[in-house]
Amino acid sequence: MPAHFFAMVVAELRTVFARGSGLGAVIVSLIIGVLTTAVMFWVYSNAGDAQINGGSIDGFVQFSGPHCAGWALTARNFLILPLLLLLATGGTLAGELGDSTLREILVRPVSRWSVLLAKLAALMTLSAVCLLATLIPSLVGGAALFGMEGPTVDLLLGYAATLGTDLGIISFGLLASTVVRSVGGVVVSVILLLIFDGGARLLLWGREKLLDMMRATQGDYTEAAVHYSQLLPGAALDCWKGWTDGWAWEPFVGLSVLVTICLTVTVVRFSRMDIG
Amino acid sequence: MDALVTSGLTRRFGQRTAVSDLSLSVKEGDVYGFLGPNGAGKTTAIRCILGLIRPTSGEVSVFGERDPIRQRAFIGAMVETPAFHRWMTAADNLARAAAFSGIEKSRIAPALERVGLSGRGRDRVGSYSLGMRQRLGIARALLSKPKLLILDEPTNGLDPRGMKEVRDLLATLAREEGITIFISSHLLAEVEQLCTRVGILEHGCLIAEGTPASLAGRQQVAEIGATDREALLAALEKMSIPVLSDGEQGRLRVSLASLSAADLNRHLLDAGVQVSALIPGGRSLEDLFLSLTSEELS
Repeated sequence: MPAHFFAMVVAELRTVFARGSGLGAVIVSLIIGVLTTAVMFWVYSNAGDAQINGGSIDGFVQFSGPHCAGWALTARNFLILPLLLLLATGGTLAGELGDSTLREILVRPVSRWSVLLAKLAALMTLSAVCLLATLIPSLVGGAALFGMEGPTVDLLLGYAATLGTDLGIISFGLLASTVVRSVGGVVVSVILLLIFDGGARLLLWGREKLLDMMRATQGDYTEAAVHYSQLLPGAALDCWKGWTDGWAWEPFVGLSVLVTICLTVTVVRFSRMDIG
Repeated sequence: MDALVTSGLTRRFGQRTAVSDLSLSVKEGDVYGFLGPNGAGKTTAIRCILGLIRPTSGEVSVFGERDPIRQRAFIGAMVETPAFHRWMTAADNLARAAAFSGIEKSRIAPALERVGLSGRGRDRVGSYSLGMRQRLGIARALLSKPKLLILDEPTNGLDPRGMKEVRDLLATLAREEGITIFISSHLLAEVEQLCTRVGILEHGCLIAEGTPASLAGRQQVAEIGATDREALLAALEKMSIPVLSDGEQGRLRVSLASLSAADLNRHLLDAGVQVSALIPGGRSLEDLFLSLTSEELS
């Protein structure tokens, strides 16, 4: 590790935040935190009138600081933030490969893997800042409006697990960058990954259904399909949902495998890559 | 001491050999001109030297250092058109380069001043002209106070005044600071003025190397005029004498190779060409370059 590694991370971070996707991710995160609190307050204020399936909304939605931050986390992880993080990741490696700015760094006396690590550290810092930008306004705002009674520990674990989810997205984005060398290509690669994930789930489900029909039994085989599908990338990237659904070990194993494979292949490919 | 040595440097892309067994040495303090037509392999060779692409075989040594990362501590480089984050300021772009080199930001202002951009450091690079970006690229290459400066077409996009400024800057760096400079260029007159040694690359192979004076004096050229220009061209082609360029008053500038001017005159007369003028002359680097590269092509 070079002695000036910290300076490299800071320089990378400045570049990430200077990009539209990096700054946009922070702003959107903050808006999600504030907006979720505002929506929760509106729902709370109108809870007497509002109904879901003929029942009072109070029976479905709980109001507290942690619950407020929990809804903010759900909103944050629904498509837009993962997409912005992916764009930031693509911009930082595929974009720099495409516009040759990476070449200007690689003629400096630094190893390629340390450049990659600096980029990863900067992107993970962006992820952490985005999470805090969502957590702080939603938790503080929610606590001020509704109090702090709620599953605080699970919520914080959910936010911590989201860091893992973001690491998975960033790792895959870095790997895709070494293959497609364009930001658009990185986004398409993730869509292909999710299509593969859906296809694999469908195959597992179909296989178990077929076995069930053949053996006229229920239970064990379908259970196995659930276990296997939890190891797939899609479930791995949903590991944060444990804070409401209950924690399971499989998505974390899947996430570890995904991150390890992606980063290992990225380092190998990047260290051997011809830079134009 | 040798600033840069390449030994048998070869790079193939599939069946195509971009750089073939390139062995050259650049002495400390040299200004080495690396010449060659488009596609000769100059940029590929420079990328191999900088570790941007892996050579298929061969070695590179910079001031005796063989480790690619440690080599780059000696080098300041600009490859082709310099690339910048266009939405960032010039100073921020240099700060980024400084951070990855492990050097102080205090070097940014002097580097900008050196290339005449001290008043524009806070401007976004997107607002820069091509020439300004080229100068900024040189500033970035100079940031780490390199002992060896590798520049690939550094005057691309510059106007004549800008070219002269860059040429003067490089001459000053070599003369006053003893920086070794390895420069690839298409501008042969520029290389002739600036360089102490020259290597000519063609199809990935080094086909000539030496001082500009020794290379230029190696063979003679002549300007030939004839009453029938077409007949002259046909006769020269038949004699395999390369035409380098058009001379003055419709004459042709040709390489004499091993012939003397008298021999050429006799051969032309034998071929029925009425020679109206035959002016032997010294050979410029451009003549040599055109002669060597056209021989290779033929």
